[in-house]
Amino acid sequence: MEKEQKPWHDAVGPKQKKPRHNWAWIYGTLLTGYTAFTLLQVFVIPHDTVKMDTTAMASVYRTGDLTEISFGDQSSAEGSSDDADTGILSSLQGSNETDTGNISSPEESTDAASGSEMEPEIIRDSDRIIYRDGNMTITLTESYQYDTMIYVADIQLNSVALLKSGLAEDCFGRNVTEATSAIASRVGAILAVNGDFYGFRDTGYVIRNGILYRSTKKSNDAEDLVLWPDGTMEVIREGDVTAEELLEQGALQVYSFGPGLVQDGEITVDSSSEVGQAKTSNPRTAIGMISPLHYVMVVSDGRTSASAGLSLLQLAGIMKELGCREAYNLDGGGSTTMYFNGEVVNNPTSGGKRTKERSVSDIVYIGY
Amino acid sequence: MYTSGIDQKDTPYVPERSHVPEDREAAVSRIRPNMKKGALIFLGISLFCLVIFIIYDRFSHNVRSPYMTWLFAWPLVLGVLPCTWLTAAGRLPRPTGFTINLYCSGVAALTVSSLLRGIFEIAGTASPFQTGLAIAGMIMTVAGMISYVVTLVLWYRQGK
Repeated sequence: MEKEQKPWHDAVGPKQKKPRHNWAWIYGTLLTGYTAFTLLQVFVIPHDTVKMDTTAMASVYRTGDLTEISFGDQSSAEGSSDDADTGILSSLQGSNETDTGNISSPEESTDAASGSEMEPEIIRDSDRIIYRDGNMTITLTESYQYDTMIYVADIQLNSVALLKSGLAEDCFGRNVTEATSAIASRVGAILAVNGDFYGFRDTGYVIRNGILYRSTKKSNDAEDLVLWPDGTMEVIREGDVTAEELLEQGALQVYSFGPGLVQDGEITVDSSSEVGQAKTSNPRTAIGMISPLHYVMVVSDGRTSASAGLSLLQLAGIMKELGCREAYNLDGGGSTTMYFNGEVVNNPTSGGKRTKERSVSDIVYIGY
Repeated sequence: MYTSGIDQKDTPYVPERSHVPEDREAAVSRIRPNMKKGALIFLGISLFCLVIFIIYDRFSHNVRSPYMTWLFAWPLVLGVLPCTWLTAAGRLPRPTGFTINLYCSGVAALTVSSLLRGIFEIAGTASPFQTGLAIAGMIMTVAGMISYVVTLVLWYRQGK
């Protein structure tokens, strides 16, 4: 029986009919769904959440003992304030201009700090605002350098327990966010800046108020900032120590953003240093230690015609000028926010170039 | 015409040489318009990716990622170039539907994966789901290539 021979190409694939594109439609739908899910998972859907357990905090936060450690180095504090005055200073606008007296001397500050019963007072003059109570003195100044508006908070504390971290919704987790001012207001912060926005990433050590939330290493070279119980700050590399070891050694706070700006009084970044793919001019947030219990928090506006923003090298230079022994770059860009005495003092530029505060995972704050 | 033998079921099909040139020519003649159309579609996708990059770049505060900047290269290199080559080469067999679906799915996955990676890098984050998509894309693309190589080998053997 004779059979009609198949043409050669049937052996390697049948002659195709007009395509109906079924696969294209099915695959396209699946790919679109997968893409949408991935974007939502990364940017929107909260997950891996852990409620903040205040009973698990380090004892220094639980007991509220503010007399463990004496007040910080006053001489360097004064020097810092003078450094902060460099540049064109302008007065901050506020609603509580009740007292515009003279700036108290360092000796007076020490006396005030030693008396924890002292009533809080806010002193405003032409170039600074000072908050002072029995346990802390915060001096806020504003300057204009590098075509950028810079806000410097000089902080002197009576105890390391006054420097804390606040979490959005009092909860650790990815995509759990809240505006810096909202968190600060809820926890009763006197001064606050945005933290490292740990919830935007899956890696990097996270220890907050003595609780270990994440021990996943970002990379061996990733630099973290550690706050120790004696009030010192230290920039460490994740490759050198595990998060568990840091906790065992008593780390109260570990922030994982970076890079470190100043270590042992020396600038550790150069003009090519950048955060990820970021370019030079950006809003920035940084925290530094002048001496134990004497810190500075710095934020800069950026991405606007009025304020260009800072490079990491410029920021490191400012931190060094302020007298920092250790300084560290926190999350910047649209996240950069400073909150003081009930109001946001800088101009956050989240949402394009509009002034709008971005919701973040965490804050660093001074408060009870 | 094919003449069946005694062991027809067990005997592999071997075409008579006299049929091959004509059928090969017929198959080859179909590849040109299809690949030309494919090249144009991939070119359109590549241009679309370029537009995405330009728009995204306007709002990303000069924060850039090579995965976003070179997004257009995926469909250009893996789509337009092979299609153009097949069109120019002419005397090659048309890829099977399975091969085309597999390869194009891989290129699509790689392109979307690159887009996601670019978005995440600019934002300063990452996702294992993007990595998974990139791996799947690579596997499908390579499998599609292998599938066409198999087609070519069979075609070449049968041509002999």
